[in-house]
Amino acid sequence: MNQNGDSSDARPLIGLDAVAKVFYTEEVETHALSDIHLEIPEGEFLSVAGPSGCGKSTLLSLLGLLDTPTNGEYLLDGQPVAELSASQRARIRNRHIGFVFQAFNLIGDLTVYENVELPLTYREGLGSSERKERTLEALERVGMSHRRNHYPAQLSGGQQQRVAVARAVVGDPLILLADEPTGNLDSRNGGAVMDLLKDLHEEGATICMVTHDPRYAEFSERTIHLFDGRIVEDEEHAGKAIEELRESGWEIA
Amino acid sequence: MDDLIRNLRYALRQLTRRPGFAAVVVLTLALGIGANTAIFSVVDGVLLQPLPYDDPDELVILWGDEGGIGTGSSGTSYPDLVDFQDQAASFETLAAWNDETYTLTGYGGEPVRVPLTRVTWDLFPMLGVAPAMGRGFTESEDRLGAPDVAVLTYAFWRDRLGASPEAIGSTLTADGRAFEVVGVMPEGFQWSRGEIYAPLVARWGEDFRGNHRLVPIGRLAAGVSIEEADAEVKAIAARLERMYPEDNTDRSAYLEPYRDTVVGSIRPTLWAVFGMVGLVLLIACANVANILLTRATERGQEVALRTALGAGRGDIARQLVTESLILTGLGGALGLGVAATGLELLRSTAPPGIPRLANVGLDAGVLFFALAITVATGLVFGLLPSLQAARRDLHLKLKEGGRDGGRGRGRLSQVVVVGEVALAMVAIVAAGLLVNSFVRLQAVDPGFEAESVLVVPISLPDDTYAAPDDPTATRAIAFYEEVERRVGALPGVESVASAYMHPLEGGWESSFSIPGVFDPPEGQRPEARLRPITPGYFSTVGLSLLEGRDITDRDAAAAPGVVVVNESFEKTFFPDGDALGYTVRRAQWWEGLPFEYEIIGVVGDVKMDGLDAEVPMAMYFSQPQFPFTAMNLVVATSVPPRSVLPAVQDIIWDVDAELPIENVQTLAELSSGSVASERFRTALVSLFAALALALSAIGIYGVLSYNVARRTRELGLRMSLGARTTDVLRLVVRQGMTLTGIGLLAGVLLSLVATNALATLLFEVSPTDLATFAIVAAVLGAVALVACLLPATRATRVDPMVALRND
Repeated sequence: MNQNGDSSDARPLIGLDAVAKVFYTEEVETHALSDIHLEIPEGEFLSVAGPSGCGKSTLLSLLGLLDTPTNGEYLLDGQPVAELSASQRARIRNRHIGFVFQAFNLIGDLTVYENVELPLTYREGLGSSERKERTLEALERVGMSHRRNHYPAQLSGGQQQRVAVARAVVGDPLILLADEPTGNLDSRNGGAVMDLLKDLHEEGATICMVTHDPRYAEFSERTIHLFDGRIVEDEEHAGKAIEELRESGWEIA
Repeated sequence: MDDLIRNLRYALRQLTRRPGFAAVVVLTLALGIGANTAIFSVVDGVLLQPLPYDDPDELVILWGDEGGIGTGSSGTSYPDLVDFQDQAASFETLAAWNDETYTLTGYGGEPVRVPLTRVTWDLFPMLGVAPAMGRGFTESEDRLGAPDVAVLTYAFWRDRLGASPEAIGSTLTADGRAFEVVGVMPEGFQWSRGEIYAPLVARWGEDFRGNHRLVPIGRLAAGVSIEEADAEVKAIAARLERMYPEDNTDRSAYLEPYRDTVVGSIRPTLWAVFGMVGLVLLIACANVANILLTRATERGQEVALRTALGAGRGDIARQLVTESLILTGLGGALGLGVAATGLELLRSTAPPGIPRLANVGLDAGVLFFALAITVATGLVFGLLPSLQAARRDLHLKLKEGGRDGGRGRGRLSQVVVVGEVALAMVAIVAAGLLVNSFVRLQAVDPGFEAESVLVVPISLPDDTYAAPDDPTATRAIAFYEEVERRVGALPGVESVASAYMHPLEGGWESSFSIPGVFDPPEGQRPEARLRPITPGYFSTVGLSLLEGRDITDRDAAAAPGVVVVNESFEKTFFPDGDALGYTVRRAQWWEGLPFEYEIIGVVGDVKMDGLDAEVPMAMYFSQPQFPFTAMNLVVATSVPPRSVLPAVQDIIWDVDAELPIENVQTLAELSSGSVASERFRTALVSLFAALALALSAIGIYGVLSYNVARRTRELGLRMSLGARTTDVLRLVVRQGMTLTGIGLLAGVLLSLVATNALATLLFEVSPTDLATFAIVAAVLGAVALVACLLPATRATRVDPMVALRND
């Protein structure tokens, strides 16, 4: 994970300039995102909030190079990504982006260890011993190394999401994109996962998290609010620790 | 390498964790690949592989063409052969052969009847086949008076002579004549029926122009086309017709490629069966495609995830290709087993008469072909998830955790099912037509009662029973009288008689005239089947005498000539049914015996040329007046016919211990055997049609099951909104039956085109037989309904609460 303690004057890791995304379906134009200007400095913990259908997930898929903008420019680590080929985008996803999904998305036929190792297997020039070392280290970080030979179906939802987080960080990405990572979890497990993200951030990780849960937005340093595909509010706040949230009256197990 | 091992390990784990899926795919592939490989191996070995001779495409058969008299193709007489050899410039060589049967004695075993083929000395050199041991025939050995020499097949030398190295130079006794063995042909060589070959020599007194006992075969001269050669032989035949009107009137000639002569009759059957397995392969591929499409939906999310984690298309493709290759590899390996077993089964159950079947081996080319088709299917449909990974709904798929509609693939699956039903319809209609045809064939009245009659072929050697000192074969007549008298006295025997040929056999034809009724010049006379019989023959085989009287003991050699004709004969010449009393005149074959015969009776027709053929005209003579030595003893019994065989054999051997008794069958067996090839063809096609039906039912079931699983939430919602069980049932069944209906419609249209190819194989059934189409559509519809009902019943058990909570 890239180490960078102070985010305020750090270089921008992500820069979106006038980005728009339009979907065309059966003669209907849907403007999912319009005129998005956004910079995410290295080391920042950003949350994206807003009601259903406001464009949060579309934004995340653009940031994660799973989709391309209709208009505007996207710079990742200073480099434009618009003209990249599919294989170049795949390589960037593999090396620089880590995903955490609401639905965990672990592969049922792979063990915990194999699930976490998966992104490294797509990386050329990585020896098996190094792969093993990094996989075990990632599992240690999320406290799941003792379950490495289990299959996902044998784990609780919270445990599955911890494994998913391990998979997201195993490749030492520039940025972690989390799409409602607690959405399928109860509050106890959700809190544990948030703690994990917070720890990662404190170790220097840049995180962009979609959530519609205001409690978890409080963990981040900045929250942007989307409405009808536009950023309507950009609010900075000191990222709180879970204990602080509890103290301020949140019901967190 | 690391990648490969990981992909392999993952693929194997996937398969072992879903054994049902793997088993269905592998079995479907194995059946498709196996059936195709087995059948195409036969098609290839029998029809496509070149004949094992030098430049086999230059070999042609010269047929006599008696189109004018209505008997079609025939052989050629010895004098005509010599004229063709002298006059035709189109041939490099014009050889000939004819098949005979001899009784072999004194070789160390029981007397046996052995097929001996006489060949002109230049036949083997023309084919480019030299004996493996010893030598072939020389030109001088073709001449009258040359010493008898023989060349043996490898099988005869191995089985009868124990592969003795001393065989060359030894002597075989056939019909009392000594043949010196001069050569042994290579293993696998077989010409016509012969186990022994001897030079073809002209016969005094026998080889007149009207005796068409030879089949000439020629090799076209360099640069001569078959059309040019055909024109030349027709010109020569026309010349011979002018020169010899008494024998050659209305007689022409034509050439046929030798390959067509060998395989022509089996060709439509093999192509029909091959067409069927082709359909089975297509349906199998459709099923595999559908199963993989279903899997693709399940795998869509996994692929999306791998893509998000940085897997390139190549990584995904390699993973999926590995899985497809394992599946198709297993299917192919099992298919090879199915093919080997199937081929063995085919060889052991095929009726006699399929040429070159013994030489058929598993064909690597077709195995590769079938494997390639299925691998391609596996790859295309297996790779779909990776193609779809590029779609922009990737993120949505990841967000929804794979609970995707898969609507596009659902439609593709439905199209595949429609295609499958249509193909199955074609396959089952084809089988239905053949079954229908076979049932009609079996219902044909053969003209005789086949129950409880034993048929014992007896062939008396001419040197003993029709020797020069006994030209009217009185010893043969006495032999049959004696044997019949004693067999008739056996307990369980109801009646006994003898006849040349059995009721379902062809045999000799001969020309005749009816003075005062039909008396054209010689050469233009009609021909009819000859049937010398002994008294009681008609009642023994259950042939009904329609008019007049039967042949009796009184119709002896010295008595006035008599003949009983069949119904077809009477209808041809006596449409008013007044044949009795007229005289049939024939060439005189035996000095001192009648050559004019009074028609004393008319019997019913017998399907001599097979149940599906026209009945030829036939004349039944009293054996003493028409003394053939090779006859069938027919024994009607009140007990199981084979139970009297040992006693019958004892009587025959008591009269002549040297006689071979082989190929004894009951009339019922002969009757059943006469439709063996039709039965085999029908069984084979029905088997593949059943396979097609089962596979398409699995296809319908699979797609509907998948749809029900996909629509669980929708069904739950419908039920929560008040849909009853029957509504849900109807919803699912309607979907399946709509697909089936469209498939059936397409199948009818396809069948209308495809079944034309079967026209030559059908008996009294039109290729567009409405009843067959209707029944097949009903059967397929019923099977489809069952396949729909299973998933539909499952749909009715959806718990709305559970289904909706899953959302």
